[in-house]
Amino acid sequence: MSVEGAIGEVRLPPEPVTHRTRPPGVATRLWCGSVTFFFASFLFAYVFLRSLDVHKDWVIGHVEPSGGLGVTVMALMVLSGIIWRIGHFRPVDTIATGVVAIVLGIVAVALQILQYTTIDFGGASGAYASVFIGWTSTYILGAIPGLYWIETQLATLVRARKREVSEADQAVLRAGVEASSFFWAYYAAIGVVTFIFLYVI
Amino acid sequence: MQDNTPHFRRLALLWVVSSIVLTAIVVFVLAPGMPPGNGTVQASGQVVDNTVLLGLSTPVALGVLLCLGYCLIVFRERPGDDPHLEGPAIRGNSSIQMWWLVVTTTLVLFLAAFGSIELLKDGAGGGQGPNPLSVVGNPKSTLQVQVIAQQWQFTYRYPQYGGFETNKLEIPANTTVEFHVTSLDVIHSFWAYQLGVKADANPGQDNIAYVQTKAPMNFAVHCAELCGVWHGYMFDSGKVVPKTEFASWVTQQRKYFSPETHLLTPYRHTYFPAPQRRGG
Amino acid sequence: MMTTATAMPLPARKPLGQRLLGFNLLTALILAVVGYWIGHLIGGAVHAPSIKYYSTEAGYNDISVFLGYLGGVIGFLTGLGFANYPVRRMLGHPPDLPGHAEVNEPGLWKYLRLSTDHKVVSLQYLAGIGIFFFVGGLNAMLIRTELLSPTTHVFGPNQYLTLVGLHGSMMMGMMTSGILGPFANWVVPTMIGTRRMAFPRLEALTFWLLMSAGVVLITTIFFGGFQTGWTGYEPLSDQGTAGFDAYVGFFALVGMSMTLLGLNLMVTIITMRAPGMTWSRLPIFVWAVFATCVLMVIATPMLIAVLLMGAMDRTVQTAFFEPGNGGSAQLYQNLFWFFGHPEVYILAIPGFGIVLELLPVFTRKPLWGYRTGIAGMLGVALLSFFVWQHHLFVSGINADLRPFYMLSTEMISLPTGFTFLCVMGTLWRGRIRLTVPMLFCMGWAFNFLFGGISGVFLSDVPSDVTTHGSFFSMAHFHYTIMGGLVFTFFAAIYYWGPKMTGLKFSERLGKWHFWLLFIAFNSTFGPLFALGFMGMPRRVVTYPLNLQGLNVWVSISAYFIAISMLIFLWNVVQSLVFKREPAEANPWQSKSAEWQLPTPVPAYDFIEWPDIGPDPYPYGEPVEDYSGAPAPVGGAA
Ligand code: HEM
Ligand SMILES: [Cu+2]
Ligand SMILES: [Cu+2]
Repeated sequence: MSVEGAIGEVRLPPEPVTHRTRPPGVATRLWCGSVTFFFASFLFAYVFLRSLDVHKDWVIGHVEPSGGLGVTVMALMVLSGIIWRIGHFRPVDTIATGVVAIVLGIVAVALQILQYTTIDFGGASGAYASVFIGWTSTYILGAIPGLYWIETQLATLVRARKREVSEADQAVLRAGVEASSFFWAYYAAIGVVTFIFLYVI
Repeated sequence: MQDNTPHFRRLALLWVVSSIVLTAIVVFVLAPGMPPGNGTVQASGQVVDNTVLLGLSTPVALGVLLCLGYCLIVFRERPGDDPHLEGPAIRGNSSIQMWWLVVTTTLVLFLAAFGSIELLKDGAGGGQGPNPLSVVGNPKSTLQVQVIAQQWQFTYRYPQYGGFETNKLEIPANTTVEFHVTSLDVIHSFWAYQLGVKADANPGQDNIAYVQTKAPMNFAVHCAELCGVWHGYMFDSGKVVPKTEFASWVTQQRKYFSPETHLLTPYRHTYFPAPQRRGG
Repeated sequence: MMTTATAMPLPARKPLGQRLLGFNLLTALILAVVGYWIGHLIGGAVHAPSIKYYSTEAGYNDISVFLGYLGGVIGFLTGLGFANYPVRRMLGHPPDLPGHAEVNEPGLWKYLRLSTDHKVVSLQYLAGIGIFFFVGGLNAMLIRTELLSPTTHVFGPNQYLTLVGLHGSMMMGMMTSGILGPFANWVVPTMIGTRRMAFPRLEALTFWLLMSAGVVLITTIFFGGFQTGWTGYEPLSDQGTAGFDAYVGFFALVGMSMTLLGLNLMVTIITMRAPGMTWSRLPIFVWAVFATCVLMVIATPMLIAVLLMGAMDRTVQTAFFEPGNGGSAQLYQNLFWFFGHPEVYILAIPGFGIVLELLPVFTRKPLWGYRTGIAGMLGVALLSFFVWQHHLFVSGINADLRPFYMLSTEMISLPTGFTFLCVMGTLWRGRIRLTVPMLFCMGWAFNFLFGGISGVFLSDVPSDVTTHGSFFSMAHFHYTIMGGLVFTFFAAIYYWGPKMTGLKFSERLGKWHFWLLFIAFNSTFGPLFALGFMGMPRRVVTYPLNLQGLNVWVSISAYFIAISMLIFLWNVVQSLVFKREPAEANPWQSKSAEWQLPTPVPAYDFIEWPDIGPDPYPYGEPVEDYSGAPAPVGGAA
């Protein structure tokens, strides 16, 4: 490789492959930390407002989001997370599992939106209603970039099938799949916590 | 290049001497004038805290400043020095590091313990929430005053005197006063400077602060939490008056406001605002 | 397949007309306006006319304002070219690294576009943050002008509070990246031995997000301003009109920028160190950046979350913070300060790093207590998550826990003390060169000492009963931020500036700048301690008559701060525009990696990473008779 630099033509030693394979995984784990603290705020709001409930306005009126849809959304997210993670561990199945994971994820998003159309309360119906709306909507909104991420991995893998890919580039691709599957599985786990607090407790 | 000057001993001597002198000045000259004065037991307590903090931080600050100053003066590279000369490659000294840790930890633990004792003793005039940990005085002889903050004024209710509401704050001397601070709209903070009292006024919450008054005096009241456009104008004043004067003032006020008092919401610890907007 | 980040031939330069049509700042601004109006129209279409929004009185609805900002930012970023790569990835193009041969381009054009070279991004950061720093400073001057008199005379109370809020938010939001943005982006890759950050596009994104944040904040003046100060307490902010939406948008964008900046730097430090660059050989500045990034990655998402809750209260009618419907004002206070306290250490720790990094250079000695310094910074970072309720000592919330928060807060002075110990140890028996950067470091030591000691007063509950919410606390945090962070910010500019710009700054003007700033700063903020003690609350446009004398003194001193800043500005303009005197490659005889590069620094930074040996601070004459010295850094001899 050469560069027309200030001091003329130079040759640069190649960058270690790990500079391209390690960052996605590390970044994803840190990002999961950020996401955790993001949703921890909603958890904090939940616990704080529920324990504070001095004026008996944790729930005002009739506030019951459909539990059936709630459990389905959670189950779909968990399934999607597990499948895509399995796909990462089994390179031959990666593309197939990825497609399934995306479909499940999209259905989860759609069902969540469907649930919003069926609820008969608004944010002002007490603290629970606020936390419910805030937490589920940010959660499901956050799933969309996750789905996009899986899609980019699949698209890349599909294209890569058509051409020669060096071993180093192969490793880079696998690193991307690993990162997105880790995130997606982690995000599903957050979905479980969301579900437990909003529907079970 | 070997420098045998006893820098450390010199600096230490300088520090000890100047610390003694300066700390004495600070504690005996400056500290008695520390805020918020000695008008009440709680205010005096704060003066004690401020004095202790000042007294302890003087030698600490002096130590650091003297060391910085000494180094900058003595160890400066002078014009004409050989620029290739470097300092000694000292990378640390575990015993100094240990001692530093021990001394600072001791200081911090002492300060935290001291502050906690001072706080728990008499509440230090701060807002303690609805269930105060340090209850001061005999509940029977305690005067209760409710401070109601709203944009942008304070009003006061005296529940033991029929619950009338007035915009004047008078409290008797040599009495324990229990302030119940609450708000009708946004967060305010009731700051009675000379009393040494500060307690946030939260909507829908009761916040209790105690003060034990001493001699009669006047005091200033400010709102100490940004509460909107006219926050800067939300100030007031109050009086600590002799007990007899308070008795006649309160009877007079009670009579004066009696036509309105029964129209008020009955006395409560919080006046919860009705939901401000739209339903569910 | 490219194997290096920088290896790309310089393309032939297109004519200006063609360049203007591409992805650049101009396109971005146009698309931002378009995006804003699209968002605004959508918001107008979807909002419920039956609902009384918080900003209804001003003729807006909050949904359209928020969507407008969202659309505007998306348009802006698209115009810069940020959408290209994500779309390419979606179509299945393999991950690749951006080339950035444009670094070698002469002229300013490269700074007005998306650039992924860490050196260009750093200078973009420096200029961008600098501009907003001056805007914030101008606000401060206006505030001080108003406070010349105890009654209102220049501004009305609404304008005054908007100025205070603008100043506080601008400074807090921008200066959090004040050292990490311009300097960590530049030197950390070089210090650890790589040519780029882990995610160069992300690096650029953090900068442009921050700039759009600044613009969003300024738009508040078109919507009536906001009256809440930088803390935006609820439910007061619920009374705010659309001007408060600007605050929410601003801090949310700043939060995103900060989180991603921290993430990127952290990943770079973890994964891209050169062979042999073990953790115990990292320069202390890298450690400071690392400790800061931990806070950024963990604490900032909570800010974004709390702002989102506020935004939902204002748009989709939730009631997180609305006491009437089940919410709580104190929920906001808790969440805000859970972010807010780590935030103030995000401001402080990079300053520690700068001071400890520069001292060995200017004392010609190794850093004294390398491990202690690291322990101090990591300790501060860790403890800062356990102290947030010291902002709520008199609020009546969890009052019984106050002794705990008093202890944890005072404990922070232990690791902070480590930094001071390292400073004193390094100065001891050094051969001190009082250059301009060194002067600023010493200014830091002086100011931060008083900032820290006044912090102990504020952490002592009985004392805090008087000082909370008064000018005392105002003085305290200016001593730590302005006297701490901003002084090190200037130290870094004078120290690394010649390497980053390739040009020399005037030493004489630098010294003028320092001495004037140092004296004026202390003369401005020192008396504020007294004013606070005397009972002057924060954020008030009026004050008792007897405090006027001191306030006038403070205001006049503040004008001298402004003059010192003008001297600085003149120094910069003179060096960069008029004189353009090339800087030496290593004017400070520093031994760290970035100074071994030639000046001006080539696009590829280095061919072979300078072999700087196992010791980050190889200064000083060896000493044999020194007992108790720990083994050299990294255990390597
Ligand atoms: C140029 C010198 C500066 C001057 C003269 C100055 C002056 C002021 C003044 C007069 C206030 C309002 C005080 C009040 O009424 O409560 C204020 C508030 C504030 N300043 Fe500065 N300041 C300066 C620099 C800075 C810097 C560098 C920072 C941070 C990086 C900063 C951060 C803040 C913050 C966070 C507030 C609080 C705003 C609020 O109350 O919401 N200031 N400053
Ligand atoms: Cu108020
Ligand atoms: Cu704090």
